Amino acid sequence: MGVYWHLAVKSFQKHLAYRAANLAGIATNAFFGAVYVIVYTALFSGRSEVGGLTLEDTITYAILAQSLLMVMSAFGNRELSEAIVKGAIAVDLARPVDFYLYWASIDLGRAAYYLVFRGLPTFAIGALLFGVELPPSVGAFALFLGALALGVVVSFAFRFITNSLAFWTTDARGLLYLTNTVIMFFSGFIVPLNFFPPQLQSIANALPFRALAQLPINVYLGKAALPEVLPAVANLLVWLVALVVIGRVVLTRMVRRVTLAGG
Amino acid sequence: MARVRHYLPLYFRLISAQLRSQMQYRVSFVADLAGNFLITLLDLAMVGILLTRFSAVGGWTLGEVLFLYGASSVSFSVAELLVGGFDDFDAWVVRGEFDQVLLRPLPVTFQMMTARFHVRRIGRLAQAIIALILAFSLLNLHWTTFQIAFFGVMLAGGALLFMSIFIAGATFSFWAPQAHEAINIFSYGGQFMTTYPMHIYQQWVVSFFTFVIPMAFINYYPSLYLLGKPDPFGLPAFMPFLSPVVAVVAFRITIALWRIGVRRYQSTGT
Repeated sequence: MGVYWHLAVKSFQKHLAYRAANLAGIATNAFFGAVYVIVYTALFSGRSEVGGLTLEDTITYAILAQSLLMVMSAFGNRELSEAIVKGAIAVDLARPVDFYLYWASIDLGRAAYYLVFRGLPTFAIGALLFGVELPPSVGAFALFLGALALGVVVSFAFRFITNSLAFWTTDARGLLYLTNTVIMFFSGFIVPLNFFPPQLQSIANALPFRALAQLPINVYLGKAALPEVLPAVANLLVWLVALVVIGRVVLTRMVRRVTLAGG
Repeated sequence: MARVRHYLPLYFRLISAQLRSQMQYRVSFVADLAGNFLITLLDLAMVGILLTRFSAVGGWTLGEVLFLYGASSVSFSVAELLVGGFDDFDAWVVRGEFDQVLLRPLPVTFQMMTARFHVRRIGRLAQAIIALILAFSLLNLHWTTFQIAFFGVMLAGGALLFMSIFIAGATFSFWAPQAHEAINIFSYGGQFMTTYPMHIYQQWVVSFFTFVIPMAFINYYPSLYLLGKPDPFGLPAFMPFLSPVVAVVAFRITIALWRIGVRRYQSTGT
């Protein structure tokens, strides 16, 4: 256990080095958040509630979504597939640690970094500029933190599978790009799933990606209390188990036949 | 003219070399193109979902917003196809690759235009054209010949403005290569902002994007005229027609700044 904790801490520290890039990222996230807020304000004009969200809810939703983008790797993350293509994983595979948990630890360290150094500042700027709602209760906030953790793990488990495509083809880049569009759309990062037409909403609810944005944010807003959340969480846990099993199966099969480029 | 005749064939030769090299990775090439089409289609879907649900934004309906979005998106993708090579210029500076560019016997700007020509970017253009077709089918416009011509002028001017943003971003990298992501605010953020009618933003924001970084000229002011919308700011009637002038001036200023950057460039030594 200790070694994985260490790996996560190292990964967290590695990101600390890119301070200017992170500041620029905060500015970008905050800017997009601000445009979303203004657009939603104009869209709502006169309406009190749409899809179960008030304007105030939606503003908080937009700011929270921008704060979580990098935490959830919504734009994808090619670290693993690049390591595979470059052959750098030869060393990783030789290490006396579980390869899957090795990369999971690295990813959790990354998520923790982005939560503290990207998410919180972006959220604080949004809160100062536009005002945000707070969770209705301490319980809801605790549930929100739980939902965040679930989202981070689901995101990793899914990306591990798509990144592993690099074992099979050296040009996994395009495929990753393609799968990422699906995540973006069905997670609720671009538009709250609350505003989706019903058919699209039911597709989104069957997929695991709402764990990345829609679920945690709705829990934060108190739109989904414990009784309503339980079926969703159960569904997502089944997804999580499936994704982890698939990821591990892909891993064992691919490692057996992989030829590394070395380098 | 002689220069154009010299560089144009060279341009197409270098682009087709890029095309052939990118087609080597067949799966990635197709997936990249499809991915680029789909990910930009999400922006279009967002506009569609929001305006079906809410019916209008700042008094503009779905068709009108699609027109704004499509116009800005066409301009953006044309700019990205032509000068997208400037977009990851920070990496060139950090890795010292720009030194190679300076050593080759071709104009620097010309090399930058041909260096990173990503064919996948056609995906965004295809999506943008779909947006415009949707807009036209919803709007039922009756344009004069002059308006049709002005529509073309708007798209070209918009492309020139987005090109200016890309090149200004690269110029910024000479001094602060680490903070390059902030440029996304004006490139991708600019495309996002110009999707919606400018008057929904605060007055100072509109002033900023009219007089400092003239993004309101990309599509908003020309569209007021093309769609026959009232000008909520009560600006002079010639405002829409200033767009091409503003675009050319902005582009010239940007190129001048870029040249200063090139002249003062000091390698990282790597």
